[in-house]
Amino acid sequence: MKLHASDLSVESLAPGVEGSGLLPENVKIQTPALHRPKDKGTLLFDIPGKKALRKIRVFNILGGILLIMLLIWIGMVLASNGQFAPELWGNALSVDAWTNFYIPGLLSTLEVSVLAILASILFGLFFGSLRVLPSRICRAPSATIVEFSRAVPVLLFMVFFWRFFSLIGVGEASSFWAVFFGLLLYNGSVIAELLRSGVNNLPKGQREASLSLGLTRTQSLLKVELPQSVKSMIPALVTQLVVVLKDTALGSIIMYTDLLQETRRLASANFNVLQAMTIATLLYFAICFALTRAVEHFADKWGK
Amino acid sequence: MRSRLRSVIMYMLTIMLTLMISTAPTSIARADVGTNDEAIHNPFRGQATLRIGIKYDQPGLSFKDGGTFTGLDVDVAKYIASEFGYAEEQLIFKEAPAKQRETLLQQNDVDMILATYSISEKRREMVSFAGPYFVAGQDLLVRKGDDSITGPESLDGRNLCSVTGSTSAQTIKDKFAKSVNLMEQPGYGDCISALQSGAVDAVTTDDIILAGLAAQKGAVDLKLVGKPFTQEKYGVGIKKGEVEAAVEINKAIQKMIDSGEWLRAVEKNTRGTNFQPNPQTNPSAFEDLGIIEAQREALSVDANEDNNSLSYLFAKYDILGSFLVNIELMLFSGLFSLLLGVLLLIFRIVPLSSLRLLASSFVEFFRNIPLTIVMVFMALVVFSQFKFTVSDNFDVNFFWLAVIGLTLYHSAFVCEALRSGVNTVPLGQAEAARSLGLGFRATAFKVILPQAFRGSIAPLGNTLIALLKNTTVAAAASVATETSSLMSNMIEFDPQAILLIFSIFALGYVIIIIPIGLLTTHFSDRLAVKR
Repeated sequence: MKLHASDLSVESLAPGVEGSGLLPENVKIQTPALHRPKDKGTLLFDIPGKKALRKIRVFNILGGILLIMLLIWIGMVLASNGQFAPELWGNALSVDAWTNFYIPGLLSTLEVSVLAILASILFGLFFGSLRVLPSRICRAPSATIVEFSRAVPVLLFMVFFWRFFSLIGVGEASSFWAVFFGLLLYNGSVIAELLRSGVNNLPKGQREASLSLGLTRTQSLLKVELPQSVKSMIPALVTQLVVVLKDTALGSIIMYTDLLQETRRLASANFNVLQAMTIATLLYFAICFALTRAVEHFADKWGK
Repeated sequence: MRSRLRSVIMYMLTIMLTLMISTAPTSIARADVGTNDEAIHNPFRGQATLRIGIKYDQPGLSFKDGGTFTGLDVDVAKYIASEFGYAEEQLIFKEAPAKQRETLLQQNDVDMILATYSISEKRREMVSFAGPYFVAGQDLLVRKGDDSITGPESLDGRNLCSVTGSTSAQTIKDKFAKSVNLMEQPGYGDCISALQSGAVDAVTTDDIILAGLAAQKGAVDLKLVGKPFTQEKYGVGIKKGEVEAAVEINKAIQKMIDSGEWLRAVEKNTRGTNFQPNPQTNPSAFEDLGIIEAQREALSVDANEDNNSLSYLFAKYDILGSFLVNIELMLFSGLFSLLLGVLLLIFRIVPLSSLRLLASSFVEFFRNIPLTIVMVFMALVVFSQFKFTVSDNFDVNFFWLAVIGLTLYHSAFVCEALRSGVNTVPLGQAEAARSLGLGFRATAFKVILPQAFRGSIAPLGNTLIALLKNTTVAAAASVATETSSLMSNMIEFDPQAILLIFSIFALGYVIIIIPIGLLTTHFSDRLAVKR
C-alpha cells in the first residue's frame, strides 16, 4: 500500500502525534475513501435547494450576528481594561519594537529551527537506515535511542541539556544548544520513523526484484528501497519543519532569546503583554500557515 | 570623509595608548600588592577590554535601553573601570541572568558582575565578592489605594508575585505569611502588569528594584510599603579567590564614595521614585575577602552525605506527586479536548457553511501557533490582565488555566484525528445510507461517525500521548508543581545528581507512555472496522 503524503501531514503537525513508535507496523493508514470530493460534507447531504439555501442563509446571518456580538463583547472587555490605549499598541508596533525585539527574536527562532531540522534529517537518515538493516546489532541500539527520544517530552530534554551545558561550562550558549539538541533528538527520531515506515510501505516487489538480481539485503535496502522512501518523505519533512518552528517557543522557558522571549521582554518594558503577544502570535501563525500550505501544495505534486 | 578617517585614527591611537598604559606598569603594580597604598591598580592588566555582566531588565539598576546601558550597577561599573584605566568603548556589557551569574564567572566569560548580586554564603561557595557598593532590603510594592498591606505579615491569604526562584518570596512564605498565594513569573514586568490589573496584591523583591519598576513609564499608582525585611548587600562578583581584584575594586568604590560621585549616581538613578537608600546601612563597610576566604577554608568540612541516591532524591522531592499533576492535566484536558474536538468535527461536516468556516478557522489557527504561546497567554493575559480566576488558591487556579490552554490547543488535533477517521470510511457507506433515504443527521450520526470513531483510535491515541508530553508546557502557565519545573529545581539544588534526576523523569514518561501505546494498538486492532 502506498503511503500518501497527505495522510501524514495531518497527524505529524502535532508534536508527538506521529505516535510513541510503539504502534506495530501492521497499523496501516487506510487509503482515503471519502476523499473524492474536495468537501467531504457534501456527500452527507443533498446539494441544498432553494428552500434549504434560504434556511442556510438565515442561519449564517444569525451566526454572523452572534459572532459580531461576541467580538463586540470582547472589545468592550478590552476597552474597559484600557487595552486600546494608543501608546500600548504604538509601543508594540514601533520601529524600535521591530528592530530591537521582534526581528532579532525571529532570527534566533529561524536560526535554531533551520539548524535543528538539518541536523534532524542527518540523525533521522542515519538511525532510520540502521533500524531497517537486517543486522540486529544495528537495529537494537538505534531502536532504543529512537523510541526513547520519542517518549520523553521535548521540554524535559531542553531543561536537562540547559542545566547540563551550564554545569560543564558552555556558558551563554547553553540555552541555544539545549534548544538545538532537544529539537534534534525528538524530530530526528520522528524522521527516522518516517523513513522506516516509508521502507515498510514500499511494494514487496521492489525488494524481491533486487534480491533476485543478486543484491544482498543490505544492498537492496541502501540502493533500492531507502532512496525511494526518502523521496516520499519530502513533504513530511517540511511538515516537520513547522513542528520544529513551533517547538522553538519552548526555548523561552529556558531563557533562549527566541521570538517569544523577546516579545516578553518588550512587553515587560512597556506593560503591553496583550498587544505584543498578539503581534508575536500573528507572526508565528503567518510563518507556520504559509509552510503548511506549501506542504499541501507540494504533497499534491509529489503524490502524483 | 576626512573627518571620519581622522576619528578612526584617533580611536586607534586611544586604544593603543590605553593598552600601553594598562600593560606598562605591570611590574610596579605586582610589587605593590599587599601594601597599604591608596593608588588603584588594574587587576585585569593585560586585557584590552573589560567584560562586565549586568542585567537587562531592571530600570534604575541594570537596564538595556535600546543600545545603551543605564542604572546604578552600570554607573558603578563604569567608575571602577575608569579607575582601572579603561575608556568607555573598552567596556563590553554582557547579560548576566540571575541563574547564570556563577557560571559566567567560573567559565571566565566575564571579568566582573554588577547585577543586583546579593552577597550570600551559598554564592560564596562558587564565586567571590568585592564591595558591597549598595545595601538594599527586600520590600513590597502595592497599589496606591491599598492600605491593607503594611508589611510581609499582612500577606496571609493575599496574592503575591515574584520572579522565578526569588529568595524574597520564599522568605515571606517561610517567616511571615504561610498562607500567601504565590505566582512566579520570569520577569519583573510580568509581575507589575498583574499588580496593576489587580490580579495580584503585591510584588516583592529588593526595594531599590521595586522603586525603579514603579518609576517606569507606564507603571502608574504603585507605592513601596517601605518596611524592608531583609538586608541585601550588592557585591561585585568576581572569580573565586581573586583577593587582589577585590582589594582594587574596593579601593575604587571607596574613591567613588569619598568623591561624592557615588551619592550622585544613587540620586540620579532613583530620581522620581521617592526612594531613599537606608542611611544606616549605606554606604556600607567592605569585607576583607582575604579573611573571609581563610574563614571559609577553616569551616569547610566535607559534607559527605549520600546525595546521589534514589532514596535521597525521592525523600527530598515530591517526584511522584509531580507526575500525578501531569497525569491529571492529561486526563482533564484529554476529556475536554475530546468533547470539543467532536463538536468541531460535527461543525466541519454540517450543511451550515458558517459553522464549517468557524470550525476550520479554529482548527487552522491552533494548529499553526506554538502551544507555549497559548500557555503564556493564559497566565499573562487571561489571568494577569483580565483577572480570570477559577479558584482563590493559586495552585488550583493555574492548574485549570493550563487545562483550558491544553484543551483549546489539542482539540484542534483531536478534530484532525477524527477527520482522518472519517477518511477511512469508504464512500459506499455514505452513498448507501443516502440511497436508503437517510438525511444528513442519520447518515452522519448512525453510519459515518460511529465507523469513523473506530477508525481513528490510533491517531487519537497518538494525540493523547502528545498531550501527556505537552502537559510539561504547563510550566509556562505558572504550574510550578509539574515535572519539568520540578526537574529544573532539583538539578539546581542537587547538580551532582543531574544524570540520575534526568533518568528518573525520562523513564517515568517512558513507563507511562508504553501502556497508552499498547492499549491504543490493542483497541485500534480490535475496533477497526474490518474491510
